[in-house]
Amino acid sequence: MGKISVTMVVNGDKVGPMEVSEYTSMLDFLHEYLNLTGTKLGCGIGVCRACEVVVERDDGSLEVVRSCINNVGRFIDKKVTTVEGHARRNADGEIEQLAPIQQAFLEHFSFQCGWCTPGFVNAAMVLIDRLKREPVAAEDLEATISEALQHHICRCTGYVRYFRAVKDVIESTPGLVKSEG
Amino acid sequence: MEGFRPDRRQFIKLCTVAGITVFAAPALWQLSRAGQKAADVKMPGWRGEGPDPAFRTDGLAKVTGHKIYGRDYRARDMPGWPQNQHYALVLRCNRVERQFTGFDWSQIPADAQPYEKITAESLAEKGLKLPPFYGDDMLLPQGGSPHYYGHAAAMLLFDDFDKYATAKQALQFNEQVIRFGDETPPVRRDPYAAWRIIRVEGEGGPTGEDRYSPLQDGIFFPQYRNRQVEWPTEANQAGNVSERGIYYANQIRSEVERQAAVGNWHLVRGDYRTQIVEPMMMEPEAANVWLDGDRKTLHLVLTTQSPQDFHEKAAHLISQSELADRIENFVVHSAFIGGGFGGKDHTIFPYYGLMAGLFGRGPVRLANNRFEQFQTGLKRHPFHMKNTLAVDKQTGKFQALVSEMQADGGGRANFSASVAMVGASAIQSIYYFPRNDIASTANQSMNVDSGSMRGYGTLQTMNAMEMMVNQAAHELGIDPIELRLRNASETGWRNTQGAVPQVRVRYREMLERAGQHPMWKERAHRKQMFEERNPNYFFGTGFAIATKDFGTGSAAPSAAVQIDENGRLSLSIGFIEMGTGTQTSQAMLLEPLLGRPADECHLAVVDAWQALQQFQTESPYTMSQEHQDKMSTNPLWTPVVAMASSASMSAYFQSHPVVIAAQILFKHGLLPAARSLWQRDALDPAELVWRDGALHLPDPEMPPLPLAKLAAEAHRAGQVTGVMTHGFNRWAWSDADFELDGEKSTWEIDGLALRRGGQGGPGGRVVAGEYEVQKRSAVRYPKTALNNAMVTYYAPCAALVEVAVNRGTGAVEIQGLQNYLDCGRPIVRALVEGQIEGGIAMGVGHALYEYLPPLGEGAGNGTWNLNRYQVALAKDVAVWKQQHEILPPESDNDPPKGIAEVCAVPIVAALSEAIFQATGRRFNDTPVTPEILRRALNPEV
Repeated sequence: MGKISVTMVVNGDKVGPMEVSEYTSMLDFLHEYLNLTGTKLGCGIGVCRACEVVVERDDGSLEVVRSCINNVGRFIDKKVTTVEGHARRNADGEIEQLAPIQQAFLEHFSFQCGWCTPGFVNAAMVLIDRLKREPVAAEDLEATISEALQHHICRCTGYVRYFRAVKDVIESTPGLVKSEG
Repeated sequence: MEGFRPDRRQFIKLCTVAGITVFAAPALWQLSRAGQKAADVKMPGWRGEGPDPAFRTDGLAKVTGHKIYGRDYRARDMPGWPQNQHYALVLRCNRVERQFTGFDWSQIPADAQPYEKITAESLAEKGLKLPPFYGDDMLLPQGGSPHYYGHAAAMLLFDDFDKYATAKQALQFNEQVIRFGDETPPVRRDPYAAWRIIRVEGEGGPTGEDRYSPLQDGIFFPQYRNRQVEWPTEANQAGNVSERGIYYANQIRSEVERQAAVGNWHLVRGDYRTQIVEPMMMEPEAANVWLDGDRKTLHLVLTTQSPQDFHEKAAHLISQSELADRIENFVVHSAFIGGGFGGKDHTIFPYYGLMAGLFGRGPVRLANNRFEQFQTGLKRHPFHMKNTLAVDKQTGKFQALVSEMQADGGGRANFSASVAMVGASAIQSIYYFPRNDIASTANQSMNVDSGSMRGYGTLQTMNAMEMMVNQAAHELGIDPIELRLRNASETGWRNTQGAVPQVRVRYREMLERAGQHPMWKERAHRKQMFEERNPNYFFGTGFAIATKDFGTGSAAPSAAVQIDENGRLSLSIGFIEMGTGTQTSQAMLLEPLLGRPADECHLAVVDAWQALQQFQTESPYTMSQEHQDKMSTNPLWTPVVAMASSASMSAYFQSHPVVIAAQILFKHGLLPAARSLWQRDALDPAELVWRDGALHLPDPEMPPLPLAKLAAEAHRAGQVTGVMTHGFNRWAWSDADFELDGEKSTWEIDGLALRRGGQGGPGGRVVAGEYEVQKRSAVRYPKTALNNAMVTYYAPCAALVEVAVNRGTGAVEIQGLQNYLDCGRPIVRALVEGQIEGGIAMGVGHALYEYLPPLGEGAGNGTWNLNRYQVALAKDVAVWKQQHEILPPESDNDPPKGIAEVCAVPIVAALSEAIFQATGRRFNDTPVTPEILRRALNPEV
């Protein structure tokens, strides 16, 4: 099996260079090489979106990428954030403050088993990042959330509590919804 | 190395099974070497200020990606384990019609060679056999033909990830690695079980004595001939149980035909089929197992819903093998699971993990990917029912129900026998029938095995009943809700088994509420308006109701509540957290009784209960009354020591011993402390109230007593500081008399142990040695005849749904959805609401999308995944429009009911009816996919 050398930034930490098998998926790289298991395997074929991670584009904007169907090579020299990387932590690694979307998912009881939560957290983070640049009209907000999260699969709570939590965060964050007039 | 030593305090001895001592390790996240602080997942502030908790106790861990699930843990996370993780790969047969002749190992890439190839012969050499519950041939022996699609043939072990991943890439869909020879006939076996529920009401009607019923007369079984069920044919009104049963069954069937022929009764008669459904819990099954040969200790990290059962069976399995002298200890590392829905209950998967570990040269991880989970995971039983519902044309009253149902259990034994029984006993839904003859068979097939998936047979059969009721209403010209009101069973009325439900039924109230909803009252107008505005769509409204039994007829929950000197409360229970919020809701149970929720709630505890010193003998389902009476005289005997976790069981059954433990702790620990601190000899508990974590007397002279102060006093005075309870429920709770502190008390439990003083283990864990068993002086168990009742606890749920059906594509869009639920007194409302919404999504999937074909095209061929298997997405469940109403509890004393399953049920038949009302096409089978509907609407295309 061939090897490739991998470097990237994951959750703010430089990773690599590391030699890994050339066919390693990003999900396996996170799990087996970095021991970051917060990103979940759901289907392994890019359908359920439990495995989504956040990648920073060159212009600083964020996108979600499915880690189960993308080779680790795609992430070389990228800045990647996984579900472990959104909360603010102190020097000892203890959580000091959650991202607003994480807090909202907690308060809405959005998840039960929690396996799909990392994908929803990451997709919602990217949606919020997009709305900072491209605010949405209030009447389009529900459709915008539905479009952003439409592929994610949840088997416990039936989506309702995720969607309403995202809506709450967007509505309560200044600048994400276009002001009337 | 900080490895396992039996004397280490953090490993707690649970029990000894078959010579193997089982230890529980502390919750994994507390000891993990994963580099995350335990403090990360403590939940400061989870309780919040309001009546409900602010969030789930496990919420912070889940929303930040902390390692908490069984699948997360690698060897390097485990204290004391070697660092190097090994991996296992299972090779499975994707065909059944030919003889298995061996392997072509040259298919394995040269740089990805396994160090061990485990085959049936390897297992036989070591005397390793599956527990009988699962049948035989864990790995298919060479020369045999596969018993079912997906039958495992070998396991390969690899010493690093890259080799494993490379080999898996090469072998998973490889048609060459398993070799097949001559054609062979299919493996066929007798049905797993068959049941018959015959009842004819007597002179006294619904509440009187029956002429014949399973509860009153007992049950009888068929013969099997040529793999088919043959019921007795001898009929005699004065004969034995089967002769009388067949007599009445014949009477019912001939009466149905006679009354229909003379025009008195209207018959709805048809075939109703349900599909094979994949539970699709999000976390595929996984196991990580390490045999520490030096210490003769087997470590297990699993993703099972039924850990207690696994450990007991696994210990027996090893004790009867050649490895018996190599293993003295099990260490059980408990973890959360990422969804179960019954798909991880008594699954065979952990035994493959166990075998991998036994042959491994290091810690071995076996983890299904989704293809493998589809190929091997337990499914929901498909049912084929032939049903007849007879309705009096004049009164609209149901007169008879006749049903013959076949459930396909697949190729390996699991819970098929009981699923067929529960499905049969549930088909009555909420209705009263003066006569019924229901026959149900669980068949063996070559499909992937089915198990106890959410619904447990009831989703299949109750929806068939609801479809029949909707059809009857349509054909008789009666409003569907009105027809239901005329036939709804009332509190105290007998069910089809002749038993009387043990909880108050509120069907009428639920039906009346739904009948007043604008979606229902204005449905004709709304249809007209919608179709005028949207000419490409049909519009229809459907309603259905269901009442899901909960319970198994042998519930045996345990609990321990203890308080330390500082007033910190810890709770230990046997149930695990499947995601339903068990940990949160069980912790909250203590608040009204002890002033605050549990500070620690330990799940999946299998260790502590040894303090109760209980033992069991025969199966609780089949033991005789005489055996029960005889054994009951031994104060340490119980019908069942431990039970598995399932989602509809915690709210009612697990809560019961928790509440009683808390009550005893209050009465014999905190109340005496309060007397002492307030210097009052007599205190009326009814006068006392908990407020802000302190006990208050309605006397301004008496200062409130904070829990910490009461706890310190209870510890100082040697009062009770820990209570361990065990209950047994066979459709009613057992109760027993105990003498505590010189006072005789009766509690609805059968086992009790108390701690006075004591320190507890880490995190407030129970140390069994600190407890002293309290032998009961008398016990009263529910009669064994209640086994014939089959089910008696019910929670109802109703769904009212509006759909738009695309005339061209057949796609169904939910336009409005109103759900109703009676959950008794909810423990945590937001958790119940999540169950409702999640149940709807799963029910929508069952009704409209989810489908696995049988046999060679089905999941067992290993090619199924979510690209082909469609579950309900957010767009399918009217995510912004869903509404629900939880019936308010009738009193503060209403027990919470098990509701996790029923929420997924009525939406299925409601959708079916809405599609009929929209399109005029009636479907008895599920799912009604867009393709099926498109063809029905456009037969010419």
